[in-house]
Amino acid sequence: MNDSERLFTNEFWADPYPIYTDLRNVEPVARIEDADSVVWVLSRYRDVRAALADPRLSKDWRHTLPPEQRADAPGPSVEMMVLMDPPDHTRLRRLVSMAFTARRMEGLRPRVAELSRELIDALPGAGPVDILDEFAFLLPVLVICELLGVPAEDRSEFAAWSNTVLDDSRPGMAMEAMRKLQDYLSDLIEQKRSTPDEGLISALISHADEDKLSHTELIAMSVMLLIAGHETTVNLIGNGLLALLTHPHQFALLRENPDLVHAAVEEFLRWDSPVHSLSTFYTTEDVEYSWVTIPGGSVVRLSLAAANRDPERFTDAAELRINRSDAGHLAFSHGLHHCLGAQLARVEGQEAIRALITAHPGMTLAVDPSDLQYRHSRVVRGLKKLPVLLSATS
Amino acid sequence: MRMPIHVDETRCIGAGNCALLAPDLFDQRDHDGVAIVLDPDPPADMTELLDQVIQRCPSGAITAQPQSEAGRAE
Repeated sequence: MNDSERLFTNEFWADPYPIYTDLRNVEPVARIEDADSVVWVLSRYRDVRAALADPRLSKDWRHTLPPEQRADAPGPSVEMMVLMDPPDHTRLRRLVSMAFTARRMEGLRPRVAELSRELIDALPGAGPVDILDEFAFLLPVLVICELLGVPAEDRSEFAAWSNTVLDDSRPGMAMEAMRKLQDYLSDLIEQKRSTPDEGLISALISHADEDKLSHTELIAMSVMLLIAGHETTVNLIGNGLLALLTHPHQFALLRENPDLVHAAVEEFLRWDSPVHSLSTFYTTEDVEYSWVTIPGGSVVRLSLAAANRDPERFTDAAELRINRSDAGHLAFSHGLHHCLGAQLARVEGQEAIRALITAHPGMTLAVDPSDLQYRHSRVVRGLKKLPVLLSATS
Repeated sequence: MRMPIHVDETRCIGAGNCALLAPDLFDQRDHDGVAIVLDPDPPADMTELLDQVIQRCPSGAITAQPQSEAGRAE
């Protein structure tokens, strides 16, 4: 079996890293045939980073069509800015970037710390706890709901839809779940029109009323922010915690030097990237990477996680080192579509991990690491459950 | 050596990596998150930090050109 054929198999879900190593070394620009489609996968750091900033790689799927068919073809199925090029991308991004600045997110830090402490205080006193379900998932959800103005009480519904959208095993249901999210947010938007609040959705409604974005773009933006707030940071916290729990020396180092948590979060992002790859890039012409020509009109997938473990870029790339202080990772991507929520993710990751190891420095895994199971998703790398014992006497 | 820092506002996506890494040199505009240069002419001992910031800008919006004799004429 080619390395590229091992992608998105059971072996991959369990541990993708040996496959990434083989891809980088043997097939750095891998052509994969998948049922009725062809995808090109890049895995080397220098290639992935360059590709993310390459103007010849578009987010507009219509580049896969012959030129004469493009004008009449519809735009993206969901009008999210992550599926657009400039100038539409630029217009939409500018409407939300002020809500996610470094300073604004820093201003949320006390609230995030407070929410973390509240959630930790509510953890069961004894026995194994699924720290994902009871903490790592709840924190980013509560924060994004506050930010957007989405009622947190509805969260079990939209959490399920959001999960399904990114689930590889049920592609037909993913579209259905996306529709449900769009309907839910469409209704919420109408409510906010009559009763606006301080949240971002109300702010976006004002922009829509000034024709800065269309109604369908408004819904798509809200869906995108809600999904992103649900499915990503949970895995930064989960993957980071697992890294600590399986590397006792690193865990001890962080306990003894709590100020290392900022550097530790960067290393978690690099070492076990919550968003492991990005798809939906389309070549607008023939492009060459690592001496391989990818034809124009091709679909390209960029493996952020493989790039982040590239020994050509990171010394001892496979090692977890929380004090590495070399934060050139690509976990938040690069280029025009660099993660909008990156600063928010950092603040959440830092405060969550800090609060958890302060409250429960003796935390251990409640199961053998080999019993842990990963979700099957072509986008996120995340555990289904992470059972822990909060202390030795749990 | 003078290194006037310049932000190309048409490229800037408001990611804030610059403001995070070098808060003495960069900030972000309130209304759209676009980067603002706080000190366009920083001291030479900030060259290394500035190089890192330029590298980390996701959209390549930041440049710092060493000034030649001719360029300095105002």
